[in-house]
Amino acid sequence: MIRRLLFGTIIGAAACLTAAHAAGEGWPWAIASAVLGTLWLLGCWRDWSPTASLGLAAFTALAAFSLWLGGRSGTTLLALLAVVAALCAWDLDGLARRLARYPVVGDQAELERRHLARLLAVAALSLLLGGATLAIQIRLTFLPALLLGLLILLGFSWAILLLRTPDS
Amino acid sequence: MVARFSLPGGLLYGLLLAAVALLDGRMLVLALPLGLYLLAALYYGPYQARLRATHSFSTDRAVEGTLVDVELEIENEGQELEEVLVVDRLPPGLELAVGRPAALASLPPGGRFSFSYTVRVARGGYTFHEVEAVASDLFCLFQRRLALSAPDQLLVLPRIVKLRSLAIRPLRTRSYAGPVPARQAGSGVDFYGVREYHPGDPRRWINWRLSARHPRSLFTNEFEQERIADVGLILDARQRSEVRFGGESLFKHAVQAAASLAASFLDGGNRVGLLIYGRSLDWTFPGYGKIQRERIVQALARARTGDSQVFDRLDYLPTRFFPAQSQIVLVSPLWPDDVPTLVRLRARRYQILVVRPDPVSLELRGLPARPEVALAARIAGLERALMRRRLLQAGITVVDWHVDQSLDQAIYATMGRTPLWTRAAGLEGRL
Repeated sequence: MIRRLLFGTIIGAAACLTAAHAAGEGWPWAIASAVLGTLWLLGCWRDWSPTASLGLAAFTALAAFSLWLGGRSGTTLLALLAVVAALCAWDLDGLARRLARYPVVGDQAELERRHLARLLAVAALSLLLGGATLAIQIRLTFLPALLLGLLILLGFSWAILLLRTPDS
Repeated sequence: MVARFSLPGGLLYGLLLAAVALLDGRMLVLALPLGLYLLAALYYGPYQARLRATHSFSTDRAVEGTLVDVELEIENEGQELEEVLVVDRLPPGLELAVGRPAALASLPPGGRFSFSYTVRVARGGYTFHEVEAVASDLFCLFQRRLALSAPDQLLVLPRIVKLRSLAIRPLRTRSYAGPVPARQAGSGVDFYGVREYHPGDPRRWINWRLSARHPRSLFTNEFEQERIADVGLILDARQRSEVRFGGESLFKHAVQAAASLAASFLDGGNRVGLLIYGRSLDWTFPGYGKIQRERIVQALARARTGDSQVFDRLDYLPTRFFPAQSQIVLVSPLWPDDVPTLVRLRARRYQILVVRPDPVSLELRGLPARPEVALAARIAGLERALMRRRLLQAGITVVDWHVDQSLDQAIYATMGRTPLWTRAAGLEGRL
């Protein structure tokens, strides 16, 4: 079931990203998105380990690029959907690999069900909040941008601290 | 597993940077799923992971070459762990036969799970030290690595082959009844001699033929007493006595031979001590019975070959370990410079038996059948035959053992009593 869901989310992410670029009439990028989606699917099918990480990074970058290129109102929602689907695909790929590599003691179906439930909750909340945010126009002025910058700095230092902790 | 949070974290950071750089709020919308994903993982992270691991084996005393089931039980003594990966670190030398020494599970507080795998064991003592556990959230983004202490030992003993009773004849025996001829007249089975009749001798011991030839005199048969003896087993564990070829080890066969001989002597009621002569002197004090058998087998299970400048030759063999005029049994492929030491020991009136596992036959098994190989084997065989002759001349019994054949056969061919008619027909040793 995990494999089927994985393929489904990759196809969904590729379709949303292609549609986002097509909506902005960025046809070369739409084709590139479709090709990337196909490569990700191929990588999954052939079990190439770095494909999922590359796929998530590429899809997020292409989604951000589609927003930067500008477009119609639906582009942002499609890009958001693409990022959510790509994130789900990346997560499911990791889960599928762990399950294939190590034998599960106890109820594997229960473990999968709990994982999927939480992933679904994160995806649903992301879409809900994202949709709500789209309805509210945010215009960044200097002060919020400064605060955001500060937040980024804090996040960066926190990430470095976390990386330096040996058991994390 | 590697820490996976860096990719979504990096992407989130990149999108935030892009939002600031481009002053575009829509980038924040894209960052939202990544942020929520990381937050969910952080919230359910394994902050207080406390686990306890316990090993158990299907048997405490395994015999080499057999399969042993290893069970690992993990108990959660801390918070709920959504996903925990447990990997058991196998001590070197154990070969995994069935299953995997790793498992993935989810553990509630106080919960426990166990998994098992099967290993094929080679002789030796194996110590299981640590179990590696990686606790993580369900998304496996944040991990906490734990090294769980689960010390346990598995002892793998050498295989013991049942041997027929060995006919040893040391000059001195102990005072208890046993299977070794004591060179003293008394009650026994084998005929020893004749003496004048003493009142009280059983009538069935009277030698009537001799008495008939000497009127007015009676003679009584005497039988050889049978007692137990002191046996000192020496296992040659010098590095140069080890031959490895095609995954086979000559030392492994030597250890098996020593274990089988010790078991055979102890079964006969004798007092047996063991000296492992290699990197150092590993001495198992002489003793009787099953406990001594266990001590010797455990010492042999841990026996390893090693180098030492002092014990490179047999010159420093500590004779004080062995009672005077007792039986010494040396298990060694033997080198030409060992012969003088053995001859000296024989001169001190020790009875010596040498069991020589044949390194030539072991190596020949894996070599191609070429003329030069055959010639080399012949030369090596001649050297060994010459050594054997020198030992036999000194009164030392030598059992040459081709490790392909059973030790019992090799010993019986050398030391077993063959029927008279085979000797008469010149068939001794061929049947």
